[in-house]
Amino acid sequence: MKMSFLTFWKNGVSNGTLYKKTFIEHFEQAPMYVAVLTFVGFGVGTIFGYLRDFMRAWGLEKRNIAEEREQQKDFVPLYQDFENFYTRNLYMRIRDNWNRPICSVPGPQFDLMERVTDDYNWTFRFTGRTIKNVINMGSYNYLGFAETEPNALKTVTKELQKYGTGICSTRQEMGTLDKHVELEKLVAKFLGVDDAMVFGMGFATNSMNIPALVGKGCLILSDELNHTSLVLGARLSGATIRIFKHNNMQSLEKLLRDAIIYGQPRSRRAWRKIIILVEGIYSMEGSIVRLPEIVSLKKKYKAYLYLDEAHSIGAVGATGRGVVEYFGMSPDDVDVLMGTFTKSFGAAGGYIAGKKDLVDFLRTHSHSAVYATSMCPPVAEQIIRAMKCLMGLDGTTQGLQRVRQLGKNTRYFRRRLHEMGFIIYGNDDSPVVPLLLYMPGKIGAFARRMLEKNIGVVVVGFPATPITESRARFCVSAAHTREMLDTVLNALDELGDFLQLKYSRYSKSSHPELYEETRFELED
Amino acid sequence: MLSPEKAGKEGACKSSSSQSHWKLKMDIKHVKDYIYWLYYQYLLITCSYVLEPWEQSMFHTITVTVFAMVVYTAYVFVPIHVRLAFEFFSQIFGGQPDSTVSIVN
Repeated sequence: MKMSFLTFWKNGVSNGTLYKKTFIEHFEQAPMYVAVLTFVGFGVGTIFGYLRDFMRAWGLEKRNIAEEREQQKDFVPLYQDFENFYTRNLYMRIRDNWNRPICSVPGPQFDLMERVTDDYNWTFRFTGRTIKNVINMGSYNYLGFAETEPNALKTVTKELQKYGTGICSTRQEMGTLDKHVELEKLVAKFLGVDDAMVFGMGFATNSMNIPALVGKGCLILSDELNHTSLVLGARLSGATIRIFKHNNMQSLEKLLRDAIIYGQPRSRRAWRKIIILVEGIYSMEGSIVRLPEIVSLKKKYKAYLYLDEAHSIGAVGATGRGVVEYFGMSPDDVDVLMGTFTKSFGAAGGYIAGKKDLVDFLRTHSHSAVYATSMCPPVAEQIIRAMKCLMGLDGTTQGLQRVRQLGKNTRYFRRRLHEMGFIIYGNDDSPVVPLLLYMPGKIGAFARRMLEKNIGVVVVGFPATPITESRARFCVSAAHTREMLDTVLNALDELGDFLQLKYSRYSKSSHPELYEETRFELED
Repeated sequence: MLSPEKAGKEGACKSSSSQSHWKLKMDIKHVKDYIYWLYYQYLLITCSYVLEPWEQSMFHTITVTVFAMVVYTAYVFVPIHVRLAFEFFSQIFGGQPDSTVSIVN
């Protein structure tokens, strides 16, 4: 369980003048009985898991799971570790809440294919019906660019007809189109840096480029809760990895000092390079990185900074330029700016931006550039049109309006959830809102009941979060109207009372409608 | 053919009795909903919500049995233990002087 603190830093009281605006984060801890009951629930699940495994091993029950062949029974067992046990016995029972196929664009509302199971989630069967207009609180559609309006997609259809869909080559051979060059120039202009390079896949951007930047003899300081792509890239590079506590600057400073004082493990030589891997917004916690402090630490100890803005580009900042703009800093402070186009731009792919020599180096040395197929042209055009809209280059203020609408929606949603008494993690300005559920029984109940009310949510359990802190994660979008958010909030209120999810001890009131003065909001 | 007054009175009687009848039904429904809600909370807390029906029956049987045994043990043994503890503590604080005086007389 995390430590509980309501951090409230105002204009440099604690650390000079690093923070220009208040930085409020919440990581409230639930009451003790919740932890006890969560363990009780997992205990019951584990006991029944052992019972079912016993029945399967002794032939009393049909085996639906993956298992070794008869000839391999004397080999080292493949499926006996805790993860496989958990998957077989706990995940399978509530598996119908994940991997739900959708059959429309993932805008603010979407259509789901209806699925039923006859044998308790081992197999699924489609009934043929679709559930229409389910409110989408799970897609990373922060600015609402996942749309099918023909007017908006005019240029994309034109490019599709001009170029087709396939590239059939890698960047280094014949896969660099003029669209890529145009897109890279636009990305560099958007972020305010020298140059940028785009890749076809966001995950591959991290995992294939970190090995190109660091190698053996380098030190990687990575946050505890970094995404798998960063972890994979760090492991593939062969450098030494040390982990600091999530967003904890004292832990990072201690690691930096130890690295510089003691050097490499046995030879005591200086590290060739020290690189700090952080994310702009952490998608499971909703917390924003403490960028000003990290930059001051990096300058003091002469380390490099790799910032992964997958969730924060387009979603935070006054004009949508990410955490660098959110904190009012200059993009020259960050050495490697990385981001993806999957979340706020409604496309696919990733970019790395920074100084010109960095990007030129990556063009020749990155695995992704040399071996992977480049981004396909209609997708590149979608990013170009979304970015032009954001920057205002298409002549309208639609981009700025979207960013402002997202900010308003985020603040409204978070405020109402806090007032209702749920435990919400994260920074007040992040559009990723994790709502804590804790008990394993409530994960399945919550997701199913929300779908019955026509709201689609994403619930997350063990491997992605600590085992006792399962949560439901909402992604607020600029395309959500106030009515949709109110529908969702009313459903959450009802469900929170029915399932007893309102654990917070700091809620302002259990009847917010009695407080009339909070109802007035100044509209732009 | 009834006069309007009589019809009104009879109608009023009928409506009040049907109203109280309806209120009683609503109360029973409230109570049943509340009991169902308590049962649902028990299912969620012990994670037996995710189990298959036969597993749920087995779990409920075991739980009810254990709970019944705890209640029976408490009923049989707790009063005796409480009385003995009370006697033990009262003997420490006020018991000795009484016993020596009674033998002499």
